[in-house]
Amino acid sequence: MTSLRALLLLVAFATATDLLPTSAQSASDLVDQGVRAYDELEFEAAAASLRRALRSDPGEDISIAAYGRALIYLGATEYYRGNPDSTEALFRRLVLFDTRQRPDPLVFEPGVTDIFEAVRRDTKSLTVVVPPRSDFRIEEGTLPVTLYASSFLGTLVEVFDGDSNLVRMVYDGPVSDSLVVTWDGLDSLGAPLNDGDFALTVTSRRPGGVSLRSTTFPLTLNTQRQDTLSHPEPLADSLFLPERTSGGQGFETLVGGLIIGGGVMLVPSIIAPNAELSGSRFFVGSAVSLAGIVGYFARKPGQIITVNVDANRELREQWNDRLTRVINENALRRSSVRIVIEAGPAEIVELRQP
Amino acid sequence: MTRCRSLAIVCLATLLAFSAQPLNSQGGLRFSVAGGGYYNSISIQDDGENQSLSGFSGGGEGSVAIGRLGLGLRYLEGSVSPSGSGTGADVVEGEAILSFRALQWLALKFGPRLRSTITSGVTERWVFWEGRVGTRARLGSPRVVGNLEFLLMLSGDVNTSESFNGGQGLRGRLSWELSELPLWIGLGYHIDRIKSRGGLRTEATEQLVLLIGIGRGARY
Repeated sequence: MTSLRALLLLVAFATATDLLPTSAQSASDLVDQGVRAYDELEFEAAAASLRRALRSDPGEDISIAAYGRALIYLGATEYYRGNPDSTEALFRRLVLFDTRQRPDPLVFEPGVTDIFEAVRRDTKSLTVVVPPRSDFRIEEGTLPVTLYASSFLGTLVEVFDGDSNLVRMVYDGPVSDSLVVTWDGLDSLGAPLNDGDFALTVTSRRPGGVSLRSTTFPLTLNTQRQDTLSHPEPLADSLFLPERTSGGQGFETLVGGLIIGGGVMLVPSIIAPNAELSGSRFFVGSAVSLAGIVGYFARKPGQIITVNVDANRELREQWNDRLTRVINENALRRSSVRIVIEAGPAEIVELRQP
Repeated sequence: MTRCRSLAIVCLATLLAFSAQPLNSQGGLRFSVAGGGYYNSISIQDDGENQSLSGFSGGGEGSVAIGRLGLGLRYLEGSVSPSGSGTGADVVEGEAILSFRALQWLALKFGPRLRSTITSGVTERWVFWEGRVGTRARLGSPRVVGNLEFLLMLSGDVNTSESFNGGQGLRGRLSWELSELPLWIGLGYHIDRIKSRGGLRTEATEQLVLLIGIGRGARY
């Protein structure tokens, strides 16, 4: 009795392990094994291996390419096993899984490829490829979003922020075969975004407008910015020279001329009270006084001081040059903002039967 | 009395030197050389008698300045003739004056001045030590400057039997710098009055000066 129970357990274990690929025999190995069996026309064995491989989780236990290859070969196997409905179902599954993969007409006979083409025409599907990590400078690089359509489809590509607010509509238009659309990492106004979580959503639509499928990639956006320079301080009024004469300057000139001229004319009589002095002191004294009077009118209030005007203009021009240099440098620094976008695994939601 | 005045001038000079402010525009070495003509008018009162002489002299002056300090030299020679009858004389004059610009508008000066008068082969040579206080003003433009200078003869020696009893004077000048060239033109008036022989003799000398110079900013 004990022996019988042990035997049953052994059979059950063997059956269970036969259903799942073992670690020693990976899903890729099963695909290779199935393909070899297919090539040797051992369709039963090929179907068994390929079905076991297809139980794996694509992208994790098996690569996308290997998973698609398994679907193609299993579809062809079912075709030769006399199950065209299964072939059609497997090819539909292939088109929905990855529109980039298709049976090679050099490998498979036209009966197989014809079924696939018919399925592809009838099955509206879109495969979206986003690189897991993109690192680029604003205005220099972009995030590429590659769209592969099984047949003519309308497509809407949008970016949403963490609160599901639309940040940027990247593309709204048709895709007939494949198309690369790009997102520059900016919002609708062309401004850089703050760091945070975003979502890139690609919605495929029938030509009539009915949404078929939504593919959403979670995005984590990080920006690396250089600090901008502050603008130069405005020039203080004290740095500017007076551009027009004030009353004080003219007054000083007038008083200086009159004092010196008066001194020349009057003081000699005090120094030499009894001497017979010549009139030359009046000539020189008058000249000095007259120079003071002329200088007063030349510098009377409101007269433009050309030298000071030129000096002030030069000062302003130097300040403007400094400001321009800072503005240009800041523009350069702003344009050199680096954006790093990391994309997570896609989440696909079927909105309507394709 | 002369000693008291000298002491007062020294005290004033010291006070101004300590209160001096920086003269930003006068930091470098500056030169100036000029030549021109002097028209001399001499009025002598000697024990109640008056005599007038006049005539031209030619000469020149030069100056060098660095910072606040400067040195001025002047030399001229010529002759004067009496307005009426009498004997004329040859006149030679020279001076070397140190200056200290205490303020932008105020300078203190000190130095010797020599004056020789040759009459009929006899030379009377005076040596004066003078203190001067000068001021200046820019007249409208920085290139037009007026100067006024008062001088006091602190001492005087003569090679004859004359005795020195004091003297003072005044210098006034208008100078104009040309804008394109380092040239300047000066128009000046000088007057000195010397008392000698116990005040019985006074001699007032006026000069009308016309100069053309080269250089900027170092005129004294």
